[in-house]
Amino acid sequence: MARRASSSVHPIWIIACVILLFAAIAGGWLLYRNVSDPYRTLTPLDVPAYLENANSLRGNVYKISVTVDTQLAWSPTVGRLYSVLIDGKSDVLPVLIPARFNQLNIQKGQRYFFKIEVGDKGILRAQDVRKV
Amino acid sequence: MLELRNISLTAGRATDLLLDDISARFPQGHLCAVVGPSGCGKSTLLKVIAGVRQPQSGSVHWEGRDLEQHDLEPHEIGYVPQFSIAFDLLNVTESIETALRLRVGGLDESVLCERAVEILADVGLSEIADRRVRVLSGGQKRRLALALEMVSSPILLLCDEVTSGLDAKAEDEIVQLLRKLASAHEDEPARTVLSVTHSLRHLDSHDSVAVLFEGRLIYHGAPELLLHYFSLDKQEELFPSLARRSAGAWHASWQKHRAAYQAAFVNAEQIVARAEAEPVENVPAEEPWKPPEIPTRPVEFMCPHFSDQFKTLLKRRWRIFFRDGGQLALQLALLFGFPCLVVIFAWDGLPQIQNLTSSGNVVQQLLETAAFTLQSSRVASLVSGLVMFQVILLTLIGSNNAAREIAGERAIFEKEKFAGVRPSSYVLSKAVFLTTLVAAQSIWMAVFVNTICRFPGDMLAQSLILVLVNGAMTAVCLGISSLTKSAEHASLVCVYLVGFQLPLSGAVLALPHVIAWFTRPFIAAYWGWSGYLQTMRDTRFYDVVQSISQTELSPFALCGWVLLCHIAGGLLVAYLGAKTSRWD
Repeated sequence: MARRASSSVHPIWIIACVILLFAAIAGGWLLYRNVSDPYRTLTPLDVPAYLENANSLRGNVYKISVTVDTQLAWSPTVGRLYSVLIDGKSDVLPVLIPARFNQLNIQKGQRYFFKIEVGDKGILRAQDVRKV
Repeated sequence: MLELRNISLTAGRATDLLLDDISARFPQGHLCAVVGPSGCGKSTLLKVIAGVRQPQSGSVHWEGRDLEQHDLEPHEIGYVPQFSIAFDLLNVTESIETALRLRVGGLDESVLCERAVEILADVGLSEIADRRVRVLSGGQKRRLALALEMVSSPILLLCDEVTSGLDAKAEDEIVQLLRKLASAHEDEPARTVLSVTHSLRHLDSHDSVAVLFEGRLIYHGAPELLLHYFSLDKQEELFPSLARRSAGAWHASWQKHRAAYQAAFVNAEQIVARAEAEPVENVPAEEPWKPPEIPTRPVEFMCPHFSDQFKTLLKRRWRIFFRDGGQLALQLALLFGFPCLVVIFAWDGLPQIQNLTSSGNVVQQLLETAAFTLQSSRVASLVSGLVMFQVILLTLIGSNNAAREIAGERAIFEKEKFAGVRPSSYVLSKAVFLTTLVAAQSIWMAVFVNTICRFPGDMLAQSLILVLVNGAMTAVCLGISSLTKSAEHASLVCVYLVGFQLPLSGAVLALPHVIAWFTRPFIAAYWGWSGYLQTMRDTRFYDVVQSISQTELSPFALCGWVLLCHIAGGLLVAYLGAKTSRWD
C-alpha cells in the first residue's frame, strides 16, 4: 500500500470518470433529441401522399421542416399564405400561417419547423411555428 | 523510534541504485546529521522516510509499526524541503497563522494567535513578524520553514539542506534551532530530527552522523568516532577520503565494524530509556541537547474541518491576489481592454438588412437576390465574427485565469497536502476564486458590448453563455494546471488549447463532417459561439448567419449543457490531479 505522500488516484475514480463521461454523453444526446426537434413526437408529413390525395390526411397533425419561399397572400384577420420548400426535397407546398402569428417577421430564405394540421380542402394550417 | 530496514531504491533500471540496503535506527529526541557527497542519496533517503518516494524493497517503521501499513498522521511528521514553502506575498505572521489554520483544528482565535507568537519566539522570528516572505534572507526563510513545521509539533522532523547557502552565523543559528527542536523543552515533546546537510562544521552538535556514499550507508554513529573510523585528522577531509575505496568496500567495512562502533556509541536510545526511568527533575537543565524526557503530547491535534481549510485557502488566495500588483494590473487590463477591442468593430451598431421582396420580373429578382446575398454575407460575417471574437477573447482570459493557478504553486501545495490539506478543499477554493473572476469578466463583456454595440438578443442569456464558455476554459485549464509540473508548461499547453479553438470551431471554415463530429464536443468556442447566436434567434441577424455558415448551429440548451460538462470535467481532472502526488 502506498504511503499518504505518494498516493495516486484510486481506480474507483477512473471508473467514476468513465461513468460520468457516459452520463454526460447520454444527457447531451437526450437534450439534443428534445431541443433540436421540438415536434419529436409528431410524424413528418408524407408529401407524396398529401399531393396525391390531401383529403385522406384531413384532420391529421404533422411536422415539416421548411425554407420560406414566397408570400402568396396576406389578410390581417386570416393570416399569411406562404409557399415553402420542404427541406431535403424539391417539393413546394402552401402553408397558411394564422393571424395569431402576425408578430413573426417571416422572410424569404428563413428556415422553420412547422406543426401543421391538414384542414378542409387540404389546406395546411400552421398550429405552431419555430425557427430552425 | 524511527527504524529503516534494508531500504533499496532504484531509478528506472534495476542497476541504477539510488539507495542500497540501508538500515538504521533513530531514537526519539535524537538529532542526526545525514551527510555525504552530492548525489549520494541523502535527499532521496529523506523522501523515502517521508513517504514521498516508494522504496523497491525494505520498510520504514515508527515505534515498531510498518508505515506502509499504518502511516504517520500529517501532524506527526514535519518535512522541510529544499525549496521555499511559504508565499512571497504573505508576511511571516500570516504564513504561520495560515499554517496553523490549515493544519490544526479546533483552535479558537486567541489560542491561535498565542500559538503563533510562541512559534515565532521559538524560531527567533518575532522581530520580523510583519515582514513579507520575499524580503527575508536565506536564513530567515529556513527559520520560517521550520516554524511552519512546528505548528503541529511533529514527533518526526525531516530537514533537507536547511543550512545550505547560509553564512556561518546563520548556519550556527539554524543548527542550534534544530538542536532545540530535537530536545524536549517546556511543553514541547522530544522529537527525532534528521537533517540532511553538506556542511561538516557542526557535526559535533548532533547526536549521530549518518554518512551516505553512492546510495550506501557507510557510517552511522557518534560524531566523535567519525574521524577515527575514517582515519582522518579533520572532518573536512571526509568527502575527499571516500574516493579511496568503492562504495561497496566502504559498506562491507561498515557492516564488519558496525557492532564495535555502535557499542562504543553512547547511543541516544539508552539515554532515552534511562531518562524514562528517572524522574524528570533529575535531568540537568544546562544540557538541553540531551534528550532527557519524552513528555506526552500537550495538545490533541485534530485535522481542521474541510470547510475551515477551504475558508483559509480562499482567504489566502484573495489576499495574495490583491497584493500581486502585476496580476491585478493584468486582470484589470483584460477586464476593461478586451471588451473595448470588440466594440471597435461595431461602434455604430449592427447594420440593418434589406429583405427580399420577391417582386418584379426574373432579372429584377436575380439582381435583388444577388444584392441581398452580398449584403447578408457582410452582415453575417460581422455578427458571427463579433460573437466569435468575444468568445475567443474570453477563452484567452480563461486560460490566463487558470493555467498557472495550481502548477505555479505545486511545490507548496504538495507540501501542504503532506501536512494535511485536503485536495478537495484546495480545488474548491480555487474554483470559487476563479468563479468570481469568470463572472466579472464575462458579465462585463456581455453588458459592455451589448450596451455599446446595441447587440440584439437577451442580454441575460448572452451573459450566461459567456460565463459558461469562460468558465469551461478556466476549468479545463485548471485541470491542465493540476496535471503539469511547471507553470510554464501549463501555460504553453493552455495557449495551444486556445489557439485550436478558432480553427476547430467551424465558425470560420467548416470542418469535414467526420472531423467535426470528433472535435466539436471538446471545442468550447463552438458552443459559446453557437449558444450566443441562439440568443439572437428571433432576429434577422440569426438568419443571415445561418444562411452563410456551413457549420450547423446547436440549440442553446445543448450549448449550455456541453459547457457545463466541460466545467465539471475540468474540475474533476483538477481534483484528481491535485490528489495525485507530484513531488519533484
